[in-house]
Amino acid sequence: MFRAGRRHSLPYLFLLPSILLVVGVLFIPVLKTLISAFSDINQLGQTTGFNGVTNFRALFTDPLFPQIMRQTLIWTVAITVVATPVSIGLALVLNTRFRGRTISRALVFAPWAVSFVYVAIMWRFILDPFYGHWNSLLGVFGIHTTGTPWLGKPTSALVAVIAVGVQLTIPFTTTVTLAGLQSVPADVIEAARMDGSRGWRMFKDITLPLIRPVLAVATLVNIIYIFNSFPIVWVMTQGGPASSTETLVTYVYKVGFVNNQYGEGAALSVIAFVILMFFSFLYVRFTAREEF
Amino acid sequence: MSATSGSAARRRIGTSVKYLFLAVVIASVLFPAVVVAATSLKPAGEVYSSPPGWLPAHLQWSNYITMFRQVPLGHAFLNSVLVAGGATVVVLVCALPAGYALARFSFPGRRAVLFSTLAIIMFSPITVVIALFQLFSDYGLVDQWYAASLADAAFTLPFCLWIMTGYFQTIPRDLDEAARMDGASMGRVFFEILLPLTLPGIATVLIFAFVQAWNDFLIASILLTNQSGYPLTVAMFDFVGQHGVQWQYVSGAVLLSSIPVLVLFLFVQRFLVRGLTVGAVK
Repeated sequence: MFRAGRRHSLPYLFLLPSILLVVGVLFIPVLKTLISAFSDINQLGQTTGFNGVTNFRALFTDPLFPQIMRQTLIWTVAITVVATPVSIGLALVLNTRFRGRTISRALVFAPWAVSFVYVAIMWRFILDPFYGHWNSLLGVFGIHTTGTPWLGKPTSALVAVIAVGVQLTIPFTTTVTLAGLQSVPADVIEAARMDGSRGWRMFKDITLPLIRPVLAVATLVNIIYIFNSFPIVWVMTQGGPASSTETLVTYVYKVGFVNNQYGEGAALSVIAFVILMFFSFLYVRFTAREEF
Repeated sequence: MSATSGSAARRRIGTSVKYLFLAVVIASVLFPAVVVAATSLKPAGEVYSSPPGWLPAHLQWSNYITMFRQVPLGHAFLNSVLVAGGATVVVLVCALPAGYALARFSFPGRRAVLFSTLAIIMFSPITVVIALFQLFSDYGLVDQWYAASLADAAFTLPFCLWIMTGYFQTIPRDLDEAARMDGASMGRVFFEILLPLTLPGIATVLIFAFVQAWNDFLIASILLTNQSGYPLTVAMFDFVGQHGVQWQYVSGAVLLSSIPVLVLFLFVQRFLVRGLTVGAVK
């Protein structure tokens, strides 16, 4: 009996370290964030009582808030919409047989392993008005732009951070799509070819429907990653100039840790949390396995 | 006749377009890497010429030595090793037994744990950083490297646990049952039969957890506020923000800090992709 009793508690014992860690670092802070969002907190971080929806009202009446939500949407949608088709194309090419395929695959995947902080740091240098290589590159095409403050003007700064976002999204999406393509049975493709299916039609009628589940997951994971992404914008522009590249995520950081408005920061966090919950729900729906 | 040569020509154009597209994308993905490598070897005069040339006219290898006096590399490197190493240990200590329990036992709450794991894989630190900072300050954990390790570990754990559980499930149950019949204890079965068989999975989790923590910026910049405790990512960002930043040294430092994790990551690429698209790729 004792043995049986001990064995019943065993799996819980094995789960204990994980549960403690997740509760301590994720669940408690989530609860704390919820409480802070409805509390008055001074600049020193001391809570002075509940204040209802005051923090949320302060956010919603700030004209910056709709601007930031709009930019977050542009940032997320633009990167996904540009990176996904390029990645599918790239995966299709990488799935064919050619010399140098292995090295091409490694090169495409490699940037994903590098910290986004470093990539963003280098882009800051590349876009330097005087000493950056971006001007050199445009110079190759006869366009002389030396002195242009690429990251100092709202539109070009937003385009620049989005372009870097696209660049850092392609490796992951391509690799996942490629994995999807490799799982397409060769005889299905062969049969379609026998029926005279080629090129675009083959892709649209045969390949695309087969890899749709992979693409759905890859796109969803991308949306979440991009929405969550902090270092690209923070390192390149810190949300500037004039908040033109600010996203919800960098704004949470700025309100909380630069302005020390903890209550409003917590309210923003709750908004980000709700959006993430929605995406996580979709992710679970897409990936949950049979054995659940 | 003309139809065949027409389709051959079309195929040749198709092939050229394919290679061109591949070349353009790879070139754009590698563009920053080329700039980093070239700049890291340029003398200051070449770095600060406008517009800069592509390749160094004169290779100044000594940059890689001078760099260590300019960029706080040594110290930050050590901090990164501590934070990322600590996070890896924590992830392993949590994910190994938990993955084993989820794969081998049936118990009330198992489905709930699996479900929650999947649900928080996509959880981002940004939603809790403010509260995390407050919580850790209350316990005097701010500016302790192991606090950053714990936080990094917590955010990586769900994915690692998911992969680990999957790995344990790939090993036939008969194997450990047979060993149990022969009188081996549960501990022996775990350490001598299961662990060796799941080594690829363990390596994947280990490398993934290490690289995630190594590359982390947000958690470290919030929990490690003291310059002497900065890991590489934060130190580098801080350095770039200073006046008179010397890009040839930054480039060298970026290159040196990226290569080790790049190599590690390429090793486990295949397993990570399989883990991330669980269920979708069969």
